[in-house]
Parts: sequence; C-alpha cells; structure tokens
Amino acid sequence: METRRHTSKQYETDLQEVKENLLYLSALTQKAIEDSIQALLDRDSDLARKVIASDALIDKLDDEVEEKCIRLLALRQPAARDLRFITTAIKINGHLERIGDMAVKICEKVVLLNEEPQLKPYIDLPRMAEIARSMIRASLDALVNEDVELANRVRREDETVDSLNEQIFRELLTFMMEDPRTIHRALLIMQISKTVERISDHAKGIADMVVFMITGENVRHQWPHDEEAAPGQKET
Amino acid sequence: MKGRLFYKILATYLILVILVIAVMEFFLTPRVRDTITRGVMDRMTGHARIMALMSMDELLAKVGELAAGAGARITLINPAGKVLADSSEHDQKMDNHLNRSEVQEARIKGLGTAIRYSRTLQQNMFYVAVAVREKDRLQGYVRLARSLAEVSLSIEYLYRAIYLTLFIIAIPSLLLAFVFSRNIVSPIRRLTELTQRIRAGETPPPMLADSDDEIGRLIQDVNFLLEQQQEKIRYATAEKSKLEAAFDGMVEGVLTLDGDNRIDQFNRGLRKMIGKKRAEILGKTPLEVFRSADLQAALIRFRETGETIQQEITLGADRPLILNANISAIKGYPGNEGKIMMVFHDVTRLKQLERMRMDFIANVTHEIRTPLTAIIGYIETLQQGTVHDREQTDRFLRTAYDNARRLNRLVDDLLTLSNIETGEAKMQFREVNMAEVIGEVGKTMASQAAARQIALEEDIPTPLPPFYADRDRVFQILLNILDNAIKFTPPGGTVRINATGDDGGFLVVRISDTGIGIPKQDLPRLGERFYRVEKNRSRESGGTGLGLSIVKHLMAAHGGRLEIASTPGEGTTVSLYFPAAGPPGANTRP
Repeated sequence: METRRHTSKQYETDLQEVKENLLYLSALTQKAIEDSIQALLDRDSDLARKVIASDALIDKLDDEVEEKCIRLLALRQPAARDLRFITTAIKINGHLERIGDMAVKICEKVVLLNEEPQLKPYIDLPRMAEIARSMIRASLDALVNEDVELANRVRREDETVDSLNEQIFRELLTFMMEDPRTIHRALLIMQISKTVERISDHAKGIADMVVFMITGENVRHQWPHDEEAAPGQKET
Repeated sequence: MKGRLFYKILATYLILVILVIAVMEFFLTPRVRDTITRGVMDRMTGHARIMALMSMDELLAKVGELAAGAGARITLINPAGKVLADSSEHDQKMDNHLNRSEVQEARIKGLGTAIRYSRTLQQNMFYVAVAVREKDRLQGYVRLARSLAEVSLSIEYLYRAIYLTLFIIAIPSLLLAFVFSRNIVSPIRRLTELTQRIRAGETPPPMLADSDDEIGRLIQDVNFLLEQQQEKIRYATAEKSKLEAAFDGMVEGVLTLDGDNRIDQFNRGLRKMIGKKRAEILGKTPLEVFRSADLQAALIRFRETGETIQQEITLGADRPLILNANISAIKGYPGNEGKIMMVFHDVTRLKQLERMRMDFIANVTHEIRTPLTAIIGYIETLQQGTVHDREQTDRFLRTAYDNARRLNRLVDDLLTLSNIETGEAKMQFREVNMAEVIGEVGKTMASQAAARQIALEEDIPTPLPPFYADRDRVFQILLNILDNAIKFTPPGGTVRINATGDDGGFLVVRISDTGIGIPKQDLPRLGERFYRVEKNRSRESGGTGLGLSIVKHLMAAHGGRLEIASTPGEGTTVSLYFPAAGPPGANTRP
C-alpha cells in the first residue's frame, strides 16, 4: 500500500482514507474491548455504559467505510490488488463492526454482574481479552504492512483463546456445582468469556482476509495447525 | 572556443565597416562622379571659350598644340558643318558635324555640351562646342571632346585610394575589436564559470578583479555577494543546528503533520518515547503510528474546531505509556498552512504516582476502618448489656483488643515507614555479625514455623564477612521476610535461609520458600504500600500490608537492595543485598 501510485490523486486519497478509517475503527474496537474488561475488573458500571454508548460511533464509521468502498467499486472499477484491497476492506469492516457489538454485549453483562457481589477474581478473562485485542491490532498491522507471516501468527493465536475459554468454562462449572447461588453470575461470566472467544474468531477472520488480500489465496476455511494435514479436515 | 559575445562584438565591427563602404557606394559615388564630371566639363568649357577668342586661322594652325595643352581632342568645324581640322583624325574622312547636338546648341546659344557615344572613337565622350565669332560674324565652331572613360578612370583612382584607406583602417580596427571584445568577454566568462559553480552548490574562492571598470566592479560585487551568501548560509546552518539540537534535546515528543495528515517532522524525544524507528514514523499518519482511538478522536475534534486540544492517551498494553498530547496549529510562518503540531508529555510516572497516592489513601482508610468497625461493633454489643455470658464477653473483649492492637501495629508501621522515608529514624551503624542475627531471627520464628509444620533450614557458611549496619533494623528486615515466607508456605513446606559473603561487594542473604508464589505481573509493585497480591490473603493472615514496603526502605537506608524472584505454585526467593564494605559514612539517610 505504501508506495503504489495511481494516476488519479483522488483515487489514491480515497484508498488511503479507507485504510485510515479501518485503522480508526480497529483502534475504537480495541479501546471498547479494553474498557469493557476494565469495567468488569473495576466493577465500574458507568464505564460499561460509556462503552455501550460509544458503539454508535463505531456503527457510523462502519457505514461510512462501506459506502466509501462501494462508491470506489462503482466509480473506479478497480482491478487486481486494489479490487482485493477494497473487497477485503469491506469484509474487515464488517468484522470490526461485529467486534464493537460484542464489546457492547460484554458491557451489558458487566452491568448485570455488578448488581451482585463478585464471584471470583478474574485472572484468565483479562488475559484472554488482551490476546483478542492484540490479535485485532496485529491483524491490522498485517494489513498495513502486508505481512503474511504476522497474519498467520494471528490465525494461530485464536487457539490460545479457545483453550482459555474452555479453562474458564471448567472453572466456572466447579463453582456452579459447589453452590447453586453462583449459577446466575457464573453464566454471565461464561457468556462474557464466550463473547471474547468470538471476538478472537473475528480477529482471525480479519487475518484470513489479510492473507487473501496479499496472496490471493482463500484460507478462511483452513485451520492454521492442520495446514499440512489433509485438506478439508476441520477442527472438531 | 570563444563565447558568443565575442562573435557578437566582432560582427558588430564588421557590419560597421561594411556599412561605411555601402554608404559611400550609394551616396558618395554619384556625387563624386557628378563633381568630377562637372569639373571636367567646366575645364573643357573654359578651354573652349579661350580658344574661341582666337581666329579660325590661328586655331587651324595650332590645333595640335592646343589639343595637347587642353588634354582633349579638338575638332574645328566651319559654319556649314564641315570639319576643318581634328586633332586626332583626318578631317576629310569625317562627315558633316552640323547636326551634332553640341554644335547645334553652340549655333544658337554660343555654347553647347553633350555626352554621347562617338561613332568615330567608338566610346562615350564629353563634347563641348563654342562658336568662334569675329566681329559678330560666325567663323565656325571649336569643339573639344574628351573620353568619358578618362573621367571614370580618375574616379576609379580616387576610389582605389579611398578603399585602400578604408582597408588600412579596417584591419587594425577589427584587430582592435578582437582584442577589446576578448578583454570584455574573458572576465565575463570567468564570472559565468564562477556563478555556474555557485549554482552547482560549490563554494568557489572569490575572483580577482583586475580592472576598475564596470566589469571590475561587477566582479567585486559578485565577490561581495558570494561572501555574504556564504555568511548567511553559515548563519542559517548554525541557527538550524541550534534549533535542531533544542528540538532533539527536548524531553517532550514533538511532531508536525503536513496538509495530507502525514508526519513530516519529529524529534528524538518522540522516537524514544514511543520506541519506534525513524522509518516507522516518517510519512505515516498518526493513526498508523499511535493506533490510538482517543488521539484520532482528538485530531478530528481539532480539525473541526481549530482550537488547541489536550488529550490523554494510553499506548501499549504490557508496558502502559500514558501521554498527554497537545494538538495545535502552526501559525504565523509562510508555507505552514494546514500544518499541525503535536506535543507529547510522558505522564506515565505521574499517573502511577497519582494512582499510588489514591490507592494509599483508600488503603489506609480501609485498613483503619476494618478493625475500627470490629471494635465498635463488639463494644456496642457489650454496651447493650445483652451478653451476660462471661465467656462470650471475654471473647468479644479479646476480639476488640486484637483489633485495637492491629490498629496500633498499623499506626506503628506507618510511623516507621514515614520515619525512614523522611530520615527521622536514627540508624546506629555498627559492625554486625550476620550469622548471629540470622540465628536469632530463626529462634524467634521457630515456634511459628513449627506450628505450621514448616521446616526451617539455615545454611550459613562461616565465617561471613563482618559488615556495618543497624543491628536492630537488620533483625527487623529478616524477621519481616521470614514471617512472610512462613505465612505463604503451606504446611509441610520448607523455608531456607542462605547467606553468601562478598557477592560482587555485597553480603547476600537469600530466603527461599516452597510457598504459593507471586504472579509475575505483581512483582514490580510489591514494595508499594498496602499493595497485596491478592486483596484478601495477607490481611487474613494478619499483615498490615506495609511489611515489604518497610523492608524495601530499610534496605535502601543501608545502601543495599531487595530482589524478589518467584514462580507461582513453586515458591519465592527473596534476596537481600547488603553492601559488604565499611560503614556507609555517617550517612544515615536513605
């Protein structure tokens, strides 16, 4: 993206603007995730409500990026790399918007959790959220720098989050078995954990699109760890 | 090759000479020809008139002499037109001359002239005829004729002389032009070379001015300009490097954005602050470099309002970096339209301190309130007089007492800490035998360790080098650490005390346990007051949350340091480094 020159200055500016908006969108969603987890840790319902309110900006930006991309497709009829970039941008945009919604979902649960005493100290959940957040950042880094290696690293990272999610699930299960009064809270935390896990899935989706954009190869339905294994084999 | 100017000057001279010749040819030649012709005619007329004074007979007799004297052919014609005599021809051969125009003119006016082709001599001739009269009776005509070629020849002579003169003048003048133009051109050419070198970015030495004329003055001026320019460049360079040094020397990070929202300038402070390479910053957008939604939002707000904006941004997850960004427009300098300046202050430390202070206040109030609530609660119950059971009353009182003591301990610890920090605490530096102190501490803690079924092992090589310290403080340090180690080791574990003499100038005491360990992210904050790894665990075990903080400060007061290494689930090792050297002077302040 760095040094490509187009004959039309306006076209160049438009593409750059799409890229900038994606970066802004990703920064906003990362902040939303950070804040939602902070709200969980600090039991800060005000912060949670602020995150919920700030989703409007993410949605607005999402609309803008999509519109811009479609206009570019219609007016410029881009080919090859530019076409791949714009279609990728549309996809990434959708992923980011969904991530924003998930941060909202987490915050809604946080508000509910704060109405009851804290069940347990959070250790794995913030770690998991931090990994998911860094995955978003790294996937956008991979987009900006056209770094396939980094994108593939992000795709592998998804598994760490999955296993952390399972660990949290097991841990909460023991809480619920010991004391039925904890079930409501444990379920809320479980939902948060699941949401974070889905955020990381979206981050992986972004990384998949980045790999597609750079190499032209569709890796969306391949899993990084069984790339050597028989094709079509999926994770169970 | 000579310059074009040289040829221009030379050509000018050449054209001038040719012009003079042409002017002469076109304007002078007809006049000169006219004048000479008229002169010849006048002379011939004069001669003819004189001759006409003579009688015809005399003329006839002297025709030859007269012709020689006048330098012309003389023809004597009688009134009837018959040629009586001719100085160059036999008269008989000649036809009647009465119809000749000059003769006809002389017959009427007495004098006639003509220029016409002579069939006799077959060339253009001048003719002058005068009537010869004697007592008003026409005797005949005397006619003088002269070849026109003769006149042309004399004109030619004249011209040859003129051309020769011109030629003689032209050669030296061209030579002069050559020398003159070369004299003008060569310094100009040298000047051109000089200015070309200046254009190429060189700094040539000044030129020598070898004349006082305009060119010489021009050279002097160019030299002056050259010198002045170099002076200005030197000045500008010096100013620039001064500015750059100041810009780079700033602790604050500074960057400027061009009209396209790209970073076109930044200082070393910024690079150090965010830990990125030059190429990762230059030409990028702020979003690409900082990835901060808050900064981007502030930038958008700034572009909308144009007002200077302050925004706090947090970068980095594992090592948080809190920056205070100031966004403003660059105004008042041409070429800076649409440029934006951002100044970043690193407020991470400030924010940390702020948080520590807030935590501290929150903690102190919390620590004080908990025992107070218990005390008030139990005393209230007793006051109400509903408890009559002696045993229960005792238990209530004991709990209230315990809590009061805990409060007391807390205040003591806070005071100790404050005293060490302000240097109020008097340190008594004496030679201390470390093995002895460790033995004492071990003895003190033995019963507590035994109660928790923890094996206490000591591994002290003898002799340990003596060192200077405040014995009571060292005791307090060791007691604190050992107390922690025992507290956080589950029953059946081991706590080992090990001392090494002279480890790089330090006497090192290591206390390791097989306890629950401390998570890695908590290690850096352990020395903070009231900082607890888990909010409840040390309070339950009766600590004030100040122990490690006191140890840390006491170690600093001894000129030593505290290091903690830990693996969660496996245990913790606390290393105490005491300076093995003599007493640290009279320095009792930390």
